[in-house]
Amino acid sequence: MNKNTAFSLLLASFLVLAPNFSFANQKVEKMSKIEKIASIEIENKDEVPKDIKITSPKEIASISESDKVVLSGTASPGDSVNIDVYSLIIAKNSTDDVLVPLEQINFTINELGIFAQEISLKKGDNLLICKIKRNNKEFIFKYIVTYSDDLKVNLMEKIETLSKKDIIK
Amino acid sequence: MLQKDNKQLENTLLNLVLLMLFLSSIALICMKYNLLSSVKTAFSSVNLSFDGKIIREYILPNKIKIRFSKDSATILEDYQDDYMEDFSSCLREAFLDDIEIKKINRFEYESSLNLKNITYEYGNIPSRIIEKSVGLRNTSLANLGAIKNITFILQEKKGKQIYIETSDSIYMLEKDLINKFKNVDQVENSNYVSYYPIFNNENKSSNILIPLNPIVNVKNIDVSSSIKRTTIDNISRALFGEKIDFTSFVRRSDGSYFYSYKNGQEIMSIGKDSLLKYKNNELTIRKSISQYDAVLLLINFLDNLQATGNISIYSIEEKQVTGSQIIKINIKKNIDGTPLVLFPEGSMENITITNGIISSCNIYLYDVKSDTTNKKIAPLNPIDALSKNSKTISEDFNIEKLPKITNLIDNIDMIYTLDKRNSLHYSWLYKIKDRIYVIDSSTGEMLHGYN
Repeated sequence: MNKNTAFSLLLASFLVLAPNFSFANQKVEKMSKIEKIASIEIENKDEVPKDIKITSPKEIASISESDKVVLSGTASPGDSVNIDVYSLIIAKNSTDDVLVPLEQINFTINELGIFAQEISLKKGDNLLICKIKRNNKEFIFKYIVTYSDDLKVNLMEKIETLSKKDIIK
Repeated sequence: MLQKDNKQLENTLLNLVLLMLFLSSIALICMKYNLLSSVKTAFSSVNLSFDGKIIREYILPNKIKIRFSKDSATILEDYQDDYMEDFSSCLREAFLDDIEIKKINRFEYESSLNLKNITYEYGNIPSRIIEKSVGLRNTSLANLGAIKNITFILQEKKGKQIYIETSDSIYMLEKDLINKFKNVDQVENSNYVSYYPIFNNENKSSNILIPLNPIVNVKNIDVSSSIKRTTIDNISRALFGEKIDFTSFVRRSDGSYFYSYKNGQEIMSIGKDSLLKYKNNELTIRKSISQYDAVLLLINFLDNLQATGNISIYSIEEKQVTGSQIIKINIKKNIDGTPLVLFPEGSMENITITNGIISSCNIYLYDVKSDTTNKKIAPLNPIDALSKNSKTISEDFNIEKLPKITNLIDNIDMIYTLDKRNSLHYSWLYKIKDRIYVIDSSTGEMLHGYN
């Protein structure tokens, strides 16, 4: 086998295998982004005090048929809460998504130790970041809520779509 | 001879007079001690019958809940007659066709409640009364029991089911509801107030819906004593019947009235605040009646007092105490569907029927009229109002952390109530275990607490 033949064979096998590797990597990347959202929850879980809980939304990624969603939970009186709401839109002439700030809500936990905040959603994907501060420690909870009034939307398809978007910095 | 005849005639007349006096005294004794069956309490007869239209006035739902999707719902603050007309015509159509009614499990029922629907919430109203109120007779609806919720599924492709939740079962029947409940679409396209299940009661399968950003219409409400149009004399005659002539009567210096029959065996008082209290302690007749008959007794009772209008049944409770059947009917005065609660402790006006006889009543003789203005206000939501009173409530329950209490809330209602200055307030009524708290929804001031 001469050098040219060997080079041609190597090039051919590279061309055949490269897309597969690339696809495989993309899959890993997709999975890692979903896992990344989940891992924030998991990472915090050990440190989060037992009385700090988010009761709604129940899932990290969910679909809402309403243009409003409730972020509710429990904490201790005096804890401060900061909620940032973003809409995720696909920018024109760009493959990157743009995070558009929609709303910022700040409040202190009341004497009951519960909170419930009604949040307006934009059509499509919305990112909710809830930070609960206690004694210089901050506990972060992130949720993706997709507002769609289309009843035929398949949850798995939406999660697949979400994974393509660079939403977690 | 003539003298002898006159004497005989005189004796006969005297005997006749004596006999008449004897008979009339026996009759009076019977009346006084209620010994004749015809001389009984004015509200003991159960052979009553009312037209469906009259009954319908008393059978307004406690709440009308609309679910647009699994994520959005509202409770109607006001509701027009259209909602009740749709309700009646749907039930009429469904039960006239003699459709098969299936008993279903709670899981199937609760899954269906995520679909677009309208729910009419009742406080254990006998299904026979609902049947009568919608103009039906001898249908299977009459035998379902005490009704808690009637839900009509309005999902376009699945809009066929009607669910009926009773105190012990859930039933489902299929009926096409196309072109019904058009108002629901109007509400959906309006800027309605969203309600959410924030408090999850540990002991209840259904969650309590509350608004986080409530907005309510301001109303001009006129609450005036109805004693002006029906006199105290008429009320006392309606209650005591023929026994009124044997009652003792006192008019107190504060303007209140007090009637007593047979040393307090049966008493009635009307306070200067127009509160009618009646109690009948002698209950000789031992006869159980159905809740259907109990409702008819209530309607007859209120009709006799001329205390009708804007009154509906809030809930019915039945229990047995030492062999006696006790049915308590809680009633409410409505201001466009929102209850007016006049007892400072937050309890509803009520009548109690013991062994088929009205044994007590606590009713405000008020007429209520209201007009809706264009003005809207944003009261405190039930969480913020409760939070402002957290210290008092935590002391009542003797626990430090309140989130536990929020798990014990049985119900939250928006009501109208009077404060100490006698002015009407839009307030939140919380039922926490067996305790009632009323909190002013504009200031957060507790109007009624446990102590």
